[in-house]
Amino acid sequence: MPTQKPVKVGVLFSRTGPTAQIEISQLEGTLFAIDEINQAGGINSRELIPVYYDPCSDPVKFRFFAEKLILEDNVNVIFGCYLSNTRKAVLSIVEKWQRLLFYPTPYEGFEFSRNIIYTGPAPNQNSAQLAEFMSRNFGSRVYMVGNDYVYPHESNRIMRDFMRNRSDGANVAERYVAMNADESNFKDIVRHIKDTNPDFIFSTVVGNCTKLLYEAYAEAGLSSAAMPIASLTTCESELSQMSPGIAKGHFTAAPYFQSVASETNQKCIARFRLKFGTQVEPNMCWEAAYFQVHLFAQAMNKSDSDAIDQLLPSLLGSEFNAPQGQVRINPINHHTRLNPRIARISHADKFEIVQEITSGVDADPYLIKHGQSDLPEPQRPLLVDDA
Amino acid sequence: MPKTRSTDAIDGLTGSKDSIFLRDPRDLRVAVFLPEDWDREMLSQQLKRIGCQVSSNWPPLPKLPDKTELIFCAVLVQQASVRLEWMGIDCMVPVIAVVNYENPTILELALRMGAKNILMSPFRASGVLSILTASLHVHEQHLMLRQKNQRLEKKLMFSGLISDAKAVLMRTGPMSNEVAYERLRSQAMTKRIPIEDVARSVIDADTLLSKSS
Repeated sequence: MPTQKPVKVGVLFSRTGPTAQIEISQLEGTLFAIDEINQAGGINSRELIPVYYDPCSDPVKFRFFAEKLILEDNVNVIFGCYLSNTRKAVLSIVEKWQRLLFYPTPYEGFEFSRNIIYTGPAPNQNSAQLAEFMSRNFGSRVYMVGNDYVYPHESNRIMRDFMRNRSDGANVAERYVAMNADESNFKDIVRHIKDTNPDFIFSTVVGNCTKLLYEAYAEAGLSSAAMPIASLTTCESELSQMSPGIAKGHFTAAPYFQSVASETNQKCIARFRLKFGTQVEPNMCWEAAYFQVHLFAQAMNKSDSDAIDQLLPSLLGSEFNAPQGQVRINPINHHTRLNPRIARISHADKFEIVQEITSGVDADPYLIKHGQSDLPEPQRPLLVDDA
Repeated sequence: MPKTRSTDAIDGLTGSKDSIFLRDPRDLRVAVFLPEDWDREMLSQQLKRIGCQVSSNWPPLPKLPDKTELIFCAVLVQQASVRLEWMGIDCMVPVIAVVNYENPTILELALRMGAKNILMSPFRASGVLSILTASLHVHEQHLMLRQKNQRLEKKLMFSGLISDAKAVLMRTGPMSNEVAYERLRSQAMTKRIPIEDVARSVIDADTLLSKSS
């Protein structure tokens, strides 16, 4: 029997720290979805109320606030986390108290928890397509640069493996920088890139460092037409931090870009702008943060409870028509079927989609060797010469 | 249950009915190399409950504390390039890697460190004794097989030497293969030296004689 008592949910994205910019977009995506759900009458007439803390990109604070949300605010469900170490911190808490975390970020795979729903891409939904696309269009001599934590290291392993299997493949260099790296670190790396002349650069640089890499690249006068940067995380949010035109010609693989042409997406962006303005640029992490709240609300509408044992049966296997297209939560691995895309940054700083798989690809988070044969054929494969 | 600790491992492969749980973990000297926020206290406490003597450090010490018999060591991507003396596939002290991600990058680093076993963090008190037991056992088996292998390699090397010596005796005797071998063996027994030394002196003598003639 539905009660009128509000439903409190926890929200943990950083407003401060090196990844604040992208996490703020996830926060707004979450609040936007909550607002939409409430506008439409709530969950079985119950209002959804977000309880938010700023964990400052710090795993210790993530752990602390997750426990506070559970014990003091009595929430059963938490939306949050960007960096892998913050997800790990919250994982131990939701497992301890049998709560549920929704995690809307691309990550390195090799994880399952009954207490987590993963709505960002696993490597077989972004890395595999990007590796294939870049080597087909530019060659297989790759220069890798990333921040020094687990996600870049594991993403580079996959890229290295892929290029090793190409006859023209070579791992030119693999460089890691700290989360607080500065201009001089990237100047040094770009100089090395110039000297070694790879076919393309694979970047797993995240947060504030992203801007520094693209700026150093542009300043050195390198040509993105000949030697582009390929990324899994550079999106509209990071682009808005850079001077116009700086990142033109570079590539990103993600399930979502603002430029997805569907009516669902364009209307969604328009509604968001109306309510939240133009401070935050919709992007892949924003979109995952947005649709995962809708998946939750849809499931709770059925279960009428947000306790994990009641919620999971209606959540697992459920689908939603997201801005990126249809998505579905896999009941076995708790990851999400997504629509892999690759886009090139155009002169107007828009992501121009050059390849997409709109029939969806299931996540395979424990895949060690990414072959080319098991990739679905993308629609509209691009010949880069027409640029 | 555990007998006293012995340096002679029982051959677990012979199917002996004796207990192969020989390593009593009581008083085992364990080095724990874990950052403090990795449940280090929890692991140390459990090891102490089991009866081990525990020393905890971070980052890993380049030189092990005296008489260390088992190592728990955290694996971090940021430490990927760190190579210490005691690490490696043939390390003489068994290592249990402690990981907090289960991806191939981390597991590869654990194996490179020489890990005989891998413990996933966060962990629970139960499970620590099991992983400790299995790791010590695997390590002893590994050492034993390596020794056995060395002995066999040596034997193989000397078998050529012995058949050369037998050939000399059979030619100069003359005598049969069996008698020649018996002659070498009894000489070795009498002089209390390895049979390969006898074989070598027979060959040396033959070379000397054939050169002088």
